[in-house]
Amino acid sequence: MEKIAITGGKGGTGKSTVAVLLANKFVSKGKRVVLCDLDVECPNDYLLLGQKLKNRIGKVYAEFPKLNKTKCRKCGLCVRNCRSNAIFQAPGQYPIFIYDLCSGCGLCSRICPYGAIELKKKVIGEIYLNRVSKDLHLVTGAAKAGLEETGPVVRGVKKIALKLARKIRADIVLFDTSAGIHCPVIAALQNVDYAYVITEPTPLGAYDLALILDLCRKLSVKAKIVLNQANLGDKRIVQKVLEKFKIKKFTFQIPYSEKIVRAYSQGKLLEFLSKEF
Amino acid sequence: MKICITSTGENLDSFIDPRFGRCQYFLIVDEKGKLLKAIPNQGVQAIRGAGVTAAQIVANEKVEAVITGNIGPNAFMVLGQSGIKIYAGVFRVKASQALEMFNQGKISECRAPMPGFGRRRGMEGR
Amino acid sequence: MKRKTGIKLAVSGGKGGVGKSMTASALAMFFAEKKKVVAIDADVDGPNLAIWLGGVKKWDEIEQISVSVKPVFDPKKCDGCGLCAKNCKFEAIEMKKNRPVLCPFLCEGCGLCETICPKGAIKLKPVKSGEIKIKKIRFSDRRFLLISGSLYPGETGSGKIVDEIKARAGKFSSDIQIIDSAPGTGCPVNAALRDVDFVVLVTEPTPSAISDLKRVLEVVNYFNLPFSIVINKWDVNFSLSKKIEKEFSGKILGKISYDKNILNTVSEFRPILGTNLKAKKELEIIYNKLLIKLYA
Repeated sequence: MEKIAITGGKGGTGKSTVAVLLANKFVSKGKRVVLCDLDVECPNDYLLLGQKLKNRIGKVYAEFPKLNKTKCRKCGLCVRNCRSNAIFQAPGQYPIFIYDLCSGCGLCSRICPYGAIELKKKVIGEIYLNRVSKDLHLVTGAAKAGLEETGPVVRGVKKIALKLARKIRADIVLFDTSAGIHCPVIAALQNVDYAYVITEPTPLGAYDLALILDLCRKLSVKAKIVLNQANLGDKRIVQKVLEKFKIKKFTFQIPYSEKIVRAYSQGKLLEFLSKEF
Repeated sequence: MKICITSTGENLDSFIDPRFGRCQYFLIVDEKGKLLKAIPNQGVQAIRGAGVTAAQIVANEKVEAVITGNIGPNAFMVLGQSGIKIYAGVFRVKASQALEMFNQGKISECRAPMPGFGRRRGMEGR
Repeated sequence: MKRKTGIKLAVSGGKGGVGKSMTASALAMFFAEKKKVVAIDADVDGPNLAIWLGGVKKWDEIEQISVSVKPVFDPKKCDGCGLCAKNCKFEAIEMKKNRPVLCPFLCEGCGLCETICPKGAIKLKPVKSGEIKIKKIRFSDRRFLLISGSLYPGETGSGKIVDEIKARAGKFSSDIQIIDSAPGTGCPVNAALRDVDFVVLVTEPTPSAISDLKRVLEVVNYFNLPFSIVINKWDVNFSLSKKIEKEFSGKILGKISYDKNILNTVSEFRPILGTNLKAKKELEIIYNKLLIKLYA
């Protein structure tokens, strides 16, 4: 079972479009594919595939502290040790936990001498399944809106997607990551076989490409470069970045096409792809 | 009863500092208006959670009430749960004047946090 | 809005590539004509604002910052008990040949391992997280400050870097701060939007962008912030544009037409204000409307 990530650093380069294109291509070649949307802050793949998120197959949890007042002796050890300053205690009173600042590390629970702090599960994300066709399954991760730390949601969704992929004996799992290079992207890129990195022929694309390639190198993920809107802008600025990373060529190039732009904006990408490719 | 007023300076002649979490000083007074302490706010440097750090400084002084301008949701929550009364929405007066207004019952207790500089939802209509 | 100085305006939108940085850069330049502006690039994963402002060859100031800590294991004190690995909630410590090995990409810097190590063999040490760069930008007779933050690839704490940039920006007096935020809704976006005075949300008429706009609106509404919407590339899909205008009636600040030439312009490091593109006029209309909203 191959695990392939689709990433890009810069937002709007066409990651989700390419992810859907690739999923379609692999299925047309007789492969069984699981497409996993790990852009848990703003999942879009289901829209491109004309789907609705109705079938929830799981939830992602994080643990947050809850005080058991009957056991608490108000000693203040938790307050003093919390690195996030997320515990407040007025003199002589019970400690109060501020979830806005809590990192979920569980240190307070671990060091409380009286076992007065329990860790309670809170839902931080949800996982949906769409059987787009016999050989294409879409797994979508959606973080609770406004959640700050979305890395753990990505990890939770990945686990479920891989479990499903093994169960249905998928040939390929595609992980569509979010934009950027921070925690949710790192979580998505870990332990994949290789990544398609989508870029565009502008200084914006080139700048972000250098960052995402640096990240891939640090994570030991092989990068295959896809140049979108290839006939616009200036390719050379991107090629310079590839030289620095000793990458010889683009794996494939997609020309700018007004037809694709319109099909995408109408949510008819899959129909368009099945007709044109 | 001890009261805390957020201030821009070390004495009651200074103007009230409208920010609770990032004020310059906490002035601790008794109800007669005698200045007991002027605590420089070390939490002002905190990138996040300044409100909670400030609330902890204030709570450690065992005050019963806080007079300030704006106060965010976290500080509002912990002070409230600790039984410390919050009188926010006080701007552009000296600390001594704020205390007088409080003693005359001219400031009402806060029922909800007042974050930001008098930001209100109605603004987008303009 | 009561204040006339120190106004904080954030540009966000949820979807990447819809034109946040283009809009933020243009607004910074328009405002700089009559106001003291500080432009803040809070898209620390891929700060592009400098490129839209004409490119920066040499920064005035570059400062490395540290916003997170990671454990360092002392081999002389460690006895291989494995308590750290067993208790790490983030599975960031693995025991290899009886010695703890850190997976830095999973470590949250919470400090649990340091506290529970019975031999005191673990110490949390600050790591180099990223950079803050400052440049005085000059465009014809306009001058303003650009403060740009970046995260080193592989490091954590993008939200905290945004907090640091905002704190740094606060040290400069300004009439208005224009904050270019990251795409998405996670911690760098929360950090960028927290305690600003107004949000300009940039979107485009595609189902993806509309969905993402609604997601970021949950963050905007959580912080109780006034906002307005700009529809970029509005003419790519008339019916969806109309739908956005209808759904958010009263909140539309303006529309920008789709123009392939914008891609070529930015490739030449030319700011929109230095061109004769239609977008320049459309952005000026948006700027003028904003002036009324913020200062009237």
